[in-house]
Amino acid sequence: MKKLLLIPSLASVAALALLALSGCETIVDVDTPPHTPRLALSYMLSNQPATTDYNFFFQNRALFVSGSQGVLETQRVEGRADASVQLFDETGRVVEQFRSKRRAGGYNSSTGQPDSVGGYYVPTRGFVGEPGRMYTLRAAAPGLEAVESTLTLPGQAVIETGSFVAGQSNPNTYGRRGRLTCSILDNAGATDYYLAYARLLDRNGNYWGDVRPDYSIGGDGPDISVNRFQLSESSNSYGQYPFSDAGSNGQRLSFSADVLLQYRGSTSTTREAAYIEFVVSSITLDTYRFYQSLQRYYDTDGNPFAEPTPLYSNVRPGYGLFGGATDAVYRIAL
Amino acid sequence: MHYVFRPALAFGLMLAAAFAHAQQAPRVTISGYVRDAATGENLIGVAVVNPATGQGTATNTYGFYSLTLPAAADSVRVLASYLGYERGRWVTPATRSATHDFRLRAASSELGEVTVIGSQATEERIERTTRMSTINVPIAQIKSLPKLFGEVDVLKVLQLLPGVQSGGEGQTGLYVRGGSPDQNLILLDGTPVYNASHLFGFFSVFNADALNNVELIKGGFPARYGGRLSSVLDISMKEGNMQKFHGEGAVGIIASKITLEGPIKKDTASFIVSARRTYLDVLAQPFIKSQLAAEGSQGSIGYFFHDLNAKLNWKVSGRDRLYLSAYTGYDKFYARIRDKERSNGDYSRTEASLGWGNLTSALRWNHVVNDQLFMNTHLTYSKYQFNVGQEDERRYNNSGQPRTDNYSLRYLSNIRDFSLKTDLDYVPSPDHYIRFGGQYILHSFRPGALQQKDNYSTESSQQKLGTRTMASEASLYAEDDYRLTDRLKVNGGLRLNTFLVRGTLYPSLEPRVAARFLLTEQWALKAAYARTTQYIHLLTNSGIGLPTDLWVPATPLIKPQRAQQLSVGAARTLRVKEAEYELSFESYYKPMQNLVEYREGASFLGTVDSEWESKVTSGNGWAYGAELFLQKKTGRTTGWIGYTLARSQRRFPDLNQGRIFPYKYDRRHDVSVVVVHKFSPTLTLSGTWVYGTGNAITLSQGRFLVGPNQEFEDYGDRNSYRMRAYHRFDLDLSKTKKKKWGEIVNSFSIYNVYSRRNPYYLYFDPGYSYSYNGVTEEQKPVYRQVSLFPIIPSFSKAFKF
Repeated sequence: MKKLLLIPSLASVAALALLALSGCETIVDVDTPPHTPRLALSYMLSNQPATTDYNFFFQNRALFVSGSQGVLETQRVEGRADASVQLFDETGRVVEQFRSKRRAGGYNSSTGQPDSVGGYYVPTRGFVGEPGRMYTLRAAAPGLEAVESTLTLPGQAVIETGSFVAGQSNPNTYGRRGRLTCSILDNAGATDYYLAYARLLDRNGNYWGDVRPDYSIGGDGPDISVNRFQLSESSNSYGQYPFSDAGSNGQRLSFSADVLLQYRGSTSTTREAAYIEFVVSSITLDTYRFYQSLQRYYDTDGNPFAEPTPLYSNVRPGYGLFGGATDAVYRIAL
Repeated sequence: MHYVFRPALAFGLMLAAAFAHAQQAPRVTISGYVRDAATGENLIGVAVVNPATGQGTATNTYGFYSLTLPAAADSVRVLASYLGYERGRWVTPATRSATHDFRLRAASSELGEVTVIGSQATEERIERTTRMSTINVPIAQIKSLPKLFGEVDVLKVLQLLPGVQSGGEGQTGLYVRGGSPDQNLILLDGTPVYNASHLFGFFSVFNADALNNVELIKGGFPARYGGRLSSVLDISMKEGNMQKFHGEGAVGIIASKITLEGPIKKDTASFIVSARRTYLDVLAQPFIKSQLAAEGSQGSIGYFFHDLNAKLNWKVSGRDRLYLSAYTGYDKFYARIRDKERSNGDYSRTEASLGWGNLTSALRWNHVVNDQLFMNTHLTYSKYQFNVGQEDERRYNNSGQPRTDNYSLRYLSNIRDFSLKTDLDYVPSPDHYIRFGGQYILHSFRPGALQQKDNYSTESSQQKLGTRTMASEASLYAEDDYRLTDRLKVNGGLRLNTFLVRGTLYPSLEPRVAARFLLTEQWALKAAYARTTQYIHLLTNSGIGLPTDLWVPATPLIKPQRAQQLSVGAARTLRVKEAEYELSFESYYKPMQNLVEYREGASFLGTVDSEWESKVTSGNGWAYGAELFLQKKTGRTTGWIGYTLARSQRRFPDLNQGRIFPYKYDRRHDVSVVVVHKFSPTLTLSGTWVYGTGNAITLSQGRFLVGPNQEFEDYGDRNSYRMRAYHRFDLDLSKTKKKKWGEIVNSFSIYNVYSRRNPYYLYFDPGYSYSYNGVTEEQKPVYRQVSLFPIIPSFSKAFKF
């Protein structure tokens, strides 16, 4: 955006000021803030079984574990494969256990570093969360203090209606354009938090392609509105746009967005998409806060004027997120 | 609602007592003004007393006094005494009311060794007055203290007082009792000044040559002041010499200034004009032009700031006086560059500027309604504006056709106030000093407006964003300084405020009480309570007064800031041999609600229109502490020692995961020592030493992963890292040379005498490691501290005629 041209303008002015003062400037080393290494993890419990299709689409929900290190340490922070992670229900019973995905001796060919999947874990019992139930995630790793986090899986949203209206094709744009609209019943008496996803399925219900926001239509980009119900990306943690209904008083939430339907070239064997699958995930408050802070962290990285943006955490005494998402799914035939 | 009506009832009873007192007969009233004999300037806070009874009063901000005494058959003697001036005496029959203007002469001893009159006559002595947390710093003392780059700075001197601290190296921002700079009501001749700093906070906008009086109120706010939480800085400009034409000025390293004043019609009308400008841009221009020329470009780059103060003073009649005053100050960075021509007619040209400044103006009417009632009506306008402008032009040949592409961008934010205010001082007896009045302010806020246009874009080639928010603030107040007994004196008041914005009305009723109880003739116990409301917020990333800070109003979504302050303390005047010292101890507790901060990750960049409301978050704060102040005002050696032990914390639900964190400028210990010694009438040596606990900042402590790729910083708790302690010693030696036409003062200052490397900011150096020809070069990561000013000597030459 052109308003960003302010930055070079201001930067040149600031550079002038610094130039004027640089003659006086002296620099000395100072003490380093102390740091105690702690466990960091990210995991999203949901009410959907962790099938291959689910794991492929919701890649950012998988369990990842690492340990922190001091800011002055020079080696890269790596995922840890030696953590013991268990999920407990409200009675204290272990309902899920996780094992590391690390391949023995595996190295990432592009970085030359140990394989990045070393931090990933997979569930071994195929547990599925129940809305309204409380769960506790506990993790421990050698040399680090054990951590835990608790959540109650939110109630499921009700998607009333959904439609897709095809738009005019654009030769400069890859994919089919159109407007996706959905209506969701909302509990006006409580503050709820949501994430919205959409994908394309073939006639067999296989993952066929992606539904992405269409930024080519002016003024609808995600940077325009801070709290707008919009599509998130399921494959990475960057494109998460959590929504709070705190400001809406009605009985319904409406979702509406210009979208692009794009073939992903993945598991489908058919040539055409048959459905749009719209997913509304009811998320916990901690999940909402985590993704908000994550978005701010990315958005302000490198901005010298911005306040520091700590990543929100509900993992004590560590870092990261034990999130909960109860998915409601609605299919729109194309 | 009891908490609202109880103070109202108590205050009503107090006023009823005052008016009943006024009906007692017979009494006579002596009233008039107290002014400097040489210049005609108002003298503020002069004690006017009847030494026979000890009854007395003090002049108000305009030099007016009114003293009502019991009628008697014989005469009454009235004394007017003021530090640094010879005492004024006047004898009048006590059978009828009379008016008399005192014209006090500066003390004959140029060393300022004035005799202080007996305690029974000094109504305004520290242990006698109900006022707490209030300090007047004489302009002469401000001018005699050490300077940075030769520039006298009022705000930097105020930072040397207990309970007041600076934000950092060289900064002029005031942090009073754990509050933020936006919580200071800075008044220049009664008109608010929104950004009191030049050059990113290194210099204040106040030119000391144009000033008459500086008063800082840190707590126990009288009801006549409102609209801010933490302090009132009331600065009065000089009125202009009614007797003779005078001038003064100074030439410094980075700026020069001149002040001219004199009568337009002797004893009837006068003027004063004062101007200051920096000239770094002028001096650096040849170097910059040659540098640009070496790159094949033309143009100029520079920075300057200027100030212009002006005031007209017209004594319309014995009862009426009109003042018209104005101030304008502006900072500007500019760059005008035309690049080297690539081919015939093919070049680009850029003009960029960044400017900010204040404009204030005031029309004031002083009217003596009768000998007990004084009225001041004030019509003011204040504007602060920040502008960024950029214009690009590209000329080139497009398929044989000359073509010009233009692009322009302008971003501005401003705040404007129109205000009408009337204050009345009613003095029915020596036991009561009643003030009441009202004010209406029309605020206009434009926190971010963006205009851009071009002649080549295929998208919207013109864009205009930004709307104005109007808000109305109205207030009524009444207060009485009431001597209940010889030992107990109370200043009680009430202030009613309303603020209307976007259809939402925010009312507030603010009780104000200050009391002193004389334990002995020398010792007084004091206590004060004030509730305050602030309807405007300052959004800042830096806290050091950058022009990018945005002033915004309370809105239906963002509530006004509120605070209460309770102060208790003791004060006394000490006599050690012939020297006299003022000693005061005060402790305070100040809870604050609805404070506003940028959300984590938010900044002013791209803040346009009402977007700011989604970028901020509200929370609460607490500040508490204790202050010790020992001051010597008379003699060859004057100065003070101040010590503050304090804590200032914040709690915001959306910041630091809702946990309490220290305010960025939380300072546990703050010490200041100020000494001014006159070796002779023409040679003065002054020194200041300050010590302060380091600022609290947020630093990354570690790194972690929550996914395979991105490393995240662990910042720990907000503001959990302490920078190194700040301390500095400054010196100034001033020599005055008398000339036939006036005098010259040569000042040699040394800033940071022992060249302490004080922290300005910290940054992270990630280090490096590489191998070349089998040799590995490595530098480990490290945090580094940047210090701005080492030892800096400066010289300035001031003149007066």
